[in-house]
Formats: sequence, C-alpha cells, structure tokens
Amino acid sequence: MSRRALRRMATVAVVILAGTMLAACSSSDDSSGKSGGSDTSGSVSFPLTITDASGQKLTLDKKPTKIGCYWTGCDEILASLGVVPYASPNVADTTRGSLVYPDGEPTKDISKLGGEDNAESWAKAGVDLIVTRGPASPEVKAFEQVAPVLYLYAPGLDDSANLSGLDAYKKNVEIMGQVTGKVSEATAAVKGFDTFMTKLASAAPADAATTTVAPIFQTDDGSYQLIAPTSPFCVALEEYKIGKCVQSSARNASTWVINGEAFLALDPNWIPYMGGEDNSQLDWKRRSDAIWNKLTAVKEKHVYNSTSRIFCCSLRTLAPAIQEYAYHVWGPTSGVADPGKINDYAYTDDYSPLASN
Amino acid sequence: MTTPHLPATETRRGTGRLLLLGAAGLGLVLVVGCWYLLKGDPDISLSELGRSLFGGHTHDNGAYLVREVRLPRLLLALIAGAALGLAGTVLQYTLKNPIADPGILGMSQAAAFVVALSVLFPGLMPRLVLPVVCILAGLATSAILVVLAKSIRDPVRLLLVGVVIASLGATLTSATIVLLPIDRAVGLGQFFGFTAGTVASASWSRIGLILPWLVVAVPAALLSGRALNLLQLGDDMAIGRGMRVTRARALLLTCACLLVAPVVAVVGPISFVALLSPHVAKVVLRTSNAHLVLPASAVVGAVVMLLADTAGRLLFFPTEIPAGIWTIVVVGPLAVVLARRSVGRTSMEAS
Repeated sequence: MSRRALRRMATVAVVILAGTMLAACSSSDDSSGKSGGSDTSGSVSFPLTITDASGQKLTLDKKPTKIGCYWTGCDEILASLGVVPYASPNVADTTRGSLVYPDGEPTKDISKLGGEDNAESWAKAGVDLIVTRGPASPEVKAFEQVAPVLYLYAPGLDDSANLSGLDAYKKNVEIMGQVTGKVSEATAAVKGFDTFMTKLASAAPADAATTTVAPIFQTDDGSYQLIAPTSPFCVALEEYKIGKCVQSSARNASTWVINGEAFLALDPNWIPYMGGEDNSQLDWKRRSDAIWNKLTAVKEKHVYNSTSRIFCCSLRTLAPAIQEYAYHVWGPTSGVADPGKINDYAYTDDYSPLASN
Repeated sequence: MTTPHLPATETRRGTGRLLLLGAAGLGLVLVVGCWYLLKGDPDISLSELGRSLFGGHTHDNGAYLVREVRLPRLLLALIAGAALGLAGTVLQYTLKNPIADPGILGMSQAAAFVVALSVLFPGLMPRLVLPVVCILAGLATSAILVVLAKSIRDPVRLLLVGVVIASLGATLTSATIVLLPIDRAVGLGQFFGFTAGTVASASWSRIGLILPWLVVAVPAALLSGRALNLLQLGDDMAIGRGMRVTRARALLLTCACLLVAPVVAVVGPISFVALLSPHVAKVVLRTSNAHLVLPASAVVGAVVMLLADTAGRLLFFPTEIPAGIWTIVVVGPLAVVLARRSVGRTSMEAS
C-alpha cells in the first residue's frame, strides 16, 4: 500500500475516533425528555447499580430520562434537585408548595392516563423508571412489567427497611441524585436541610430538648393515632435537641392506634394535630372525648392544627413541618417565622426559617 | 306459650338451663367486668372502684377513667354482644338457615360502607344521623332478601343472594378506598381500625346513639319467639296456623336490622358473634325453642364480646387489639367443642 493511501486511512481513522469520542461525551436528555448539558460535577457512571429500600439491587443501564413518580416523596425530592418528573399524578393544580417544579410541569399526567395505580397508565406514559416507596406490594410489583421500579425509604410508613429517620430521607436524596446525575444538587439539598435545622435550633429556648411532643392524626371516633417514633420528624427533634416525641409500646403498628389510657398516661407537653393539607374539617378545639379533655396539653391549649405533612415524605416537607412546630411551640418571639400552610410555603435557597428583622 | 309437640318437661328443663346460663353469664360478667374496670393505666383498687362508681364526685384520674372510659366501654361491649346474639337468632330462624349472619347477608357490609364514607369524608353526615343512614342501608339489604324469599324457597339459594349483596357492599367500600383522594388518606388508619370491629372508642354519647334503636328492637326480638318457632315448621305449616309469613319475615328482618345496623355504626362489623351465639345457646339449652334460645343467645353474645374486648384491651396492655379479632378466638373453639358434644350425644342416641 502506498504512503498516501496509508495517510488517508490514518486520517479517516482519526476522524472516526474523534467523532466517536464526541458522541460519547455528549449529554443525554434530562428526566423531562429535554436535552440539557451534561452534569459535569457528577461522579455517576452508568450502568449504575443501586440497592434500594426493598433490598433489591437495581441496575440501570443508562441514565433514566423519563422518570415516573408513583410516590409523592419522589416528586418532592426531584423538585429539590431542580428536576421535573416525566410522569406523575401530581400535576397542574396539585403542584404547589413542596411540589413547585423549577422548570415546568411533568410531561405526562398519570391521572389522565388511567390513574397511578394502573400499570397500563405507566405504559402509556412511556416511562423508563418508576419510583415509589417501600415496602414492595403486589400492585406495585406489577409495574415491573412496564419499567424498572425503584423503592425509596419511607421511614415511619415502612418499618421493614433497614434505615429510618433522617438517614432514610437523606439516603433517598442521595439515590435520586445518582439516578438523575444531580449528585452535587443532592449534596446541596442535604446540606441545606442541615443548615436549616442548625439555624432553627439556634432559636430554641433552653428547655426545648425536654419538650415532649405527640403528633396525632385527626379522628372523630376518639381513637389516638400516633406517628412512629422512627419517623424523621421525631428523629430530627431529638437529634437537634428541640423536642422529644413520646414513645409507647402501645402503638399498634398496623393502624397506628394507641390505647387512650396509655396516651393519657404519656400526657405530652404539645400535640400537633394532623389533618392533612386540606384541614377544613380539622380543628382540635372541636374534638371532645373523655381522654382528650383530660390531657394537660389540651387544658393549656398546647395543641396546634398542623397543616404540614409531619409524617411524610421527604426533607423538603419535613423542613416546614419542623418550622411549624417551632413557631407554635416557641412562639413568634423566638424569631421563627410562621411557615404558613404547606401549600403556600416558599422554599428559598438559603433555607432560612427565621423571621427577617 | 310452649312450642307445639314439645313436652312440658322438656320446656321446663330448657327454662332451667336458661336460668343456669343466665346466672353463669351474670357471674362471669361481674367477675370479668370487675377486673376490666380495675385494670389499666393506672390500675385501681376495689375500694377506689367502689368510690368511683358509687362515691359521688371523685376527680382523680382513676375514678375519671372508670366512669368516662372503662365503664362505657364495658357496657357498650355487653350491649353490642347481646344485640348481635339476638340478631343472629332472629336471622337464622327467619331464613331457616343455620349460617345466616348479618355479615353473610350483607347487613353489616351495607352499614360498614356508610361508615366508610363518613370516616373517609369527614363532614359528610353528622354523627347523630349516622346510625339512621346505617339502618336504612341495612334495611335496603333486608328488603331485597324479603322480596326474594317469596320466590326463592331454597334457603341455600337465598343465602347465596345474601352473599352477593354482602360482596357488593364490600366491593363498594374497597372502591371508595381505592378512589380516595390522596388528601383523605389520613382517614385510612381510622377506617382500618373500624373494620376490625372495636369498642375502644366507646363513650356515653355513643351508647346514647344506639340505645333508642335497641330499646325498640331488643324487646321486639325477645317477643318474637312464637313467630320464629312457627317459621321453623315451614312456610306452609306457618300459614296453616294463621301466620302471614311474608309480613312476619319482613318485620323480623327489620328487627334484625335495627339490632345490627346501629351496632355496626358505632363499633364496626364484629364477626362470628351473631353467627355462633345461637348455636352455642342451643347446645347449652339442648333445645331449639326460640323462646329460650333468644335470651340465651343474648347472654352468650354479651359474654363473648366482654371476653373479646377484655382480651383485646388487657392481654397485651397497653397495646390495643380490636375486639373483633378476638371474637373468633373466644367463640370459635367453644362452638366447636359444644357442637362435637352435641354430635356425640346424637350419635349415641341414634345407636
């Protein structure tokens, strides 16, 4: 072969090699299906193997671009990473507060495709990953016919996982950071929560650590439903020495119900009365049963209607829940700002829970 | 009035056994009931119990819990058990089917569906109205059974219709849960506690909700012995003795509904008490005379509910296990033992 021919072949080979390298380095789509720049700060490479909350080792061959959020915790975590889920039942008028996405709405509204409990809906949406919470259930396992299913930790809701409290919530953020390639954003989100808690704790009165708290669900049948002591809310209070959830072996794990007499014996200092986001039916002052009227917290009006989601689902909703607790228990003079209703909560980059001067 | 063809001596023996059963039941209620009132958090002494019940105004915690928490709960368990026991007898005799039960026939499921709606959608209906709506739902299922009883003489087929109605009620409840808006999900825990059947949330006001209905239904049931005995002879024989069978059946099912629906509205669907109390009563009394079985099944039902709630409240105190889970533990083995004794006796007599 002549030198000229060899030179030509070498040139062609270099061009092909360069083109291949350029193609390999180009960024893949983000999870909303839009092209974006590569995550230059991420150290995630695919295939990626994750051990999720159900104990399964899930291997993702490539970065998912169409993430479907079956569980609200997934939506919240993605919102904190600055990512929009591709498919979710939380769209349009339900996206507010913790679910305000920075870059538009999810592409697919699962509720309009047949509902999130229907595997066909997810198939119609064309997702390449479905994110839910543990424990695994037969209904959710059916989704594995459509796309890989990733189980996140749900401390306080799922006692089968080997991680609980704040560690579980932080692990969820880490997992989603890896899945979406937003590792630095995930780190920032966790650090931001820690900063928030530190600032909040700095405003705590001296005796805050000894305040006993019993978040209970609104009911009208006189029963007492407590959240789990392993829930991140309780763990955060204790870890940052701003309160302590009452604990009792009386809690029935399947229904969260505690024996009324046992609850009276616990007699907590403060009671967050949880009714969910729409608390039009909720008012602790309307409750009247034999045990309730005897509680010291009720007599001293140390009860507040909680509009936050103390019991679920991520660091993003935990922060306003704890700020709400601090505002009510320590009072406005402590400098803690009134967080308002969860759906109106304004998330800021500096996570400042304190009222501005 | 004695049942036709029964010798007077047998009736006297049955009455004697009924009195014995009543005395034993009363004794058990007093002993277990006393322990029930003494134990809890805090435990109280007998003298404190006496002062709490009869000693005027005592404001300490123990006295308050006895008067406002434990005593209404004890009474509600007894009342609910007695009502369910009576309802079971009325249903089984009316439909001539030994496994007729409010749960199998759909009465409990219809009432439970109404309660599900009220729990999962707070504010949907005021608490005072709830037993009424439950009764209406139960009456609807009874009406279907009455209408169909005219054309379906085979009790097994009639029971199948009841099973279909029960399944429909359960399906409607499941559908409500599945379609529940996410912001209502906090009510699910309360609802699941309710479906297990529990008297844990008893109060004087809740007893007041169901008493007006039971004040009518319980005497009506106790006085229906003649009608129930006649129905056992078969529709033709009953008609021949002057009974208007369809009307009687409608009234009896209405009575059963008035016994069951208010109870379900307050404590939830309790299984097996209505089904098995009549059988236990018949084995103990060794007669199927409805005049005797009715009060006996009320006693059995009341005792079963008391034992079940005592177990649920105190066995693993302070963890609360609903009484509805314990009823089968309490009454199931008893029914099996007594039934086997009955079979054994029958076999001996036959040989």
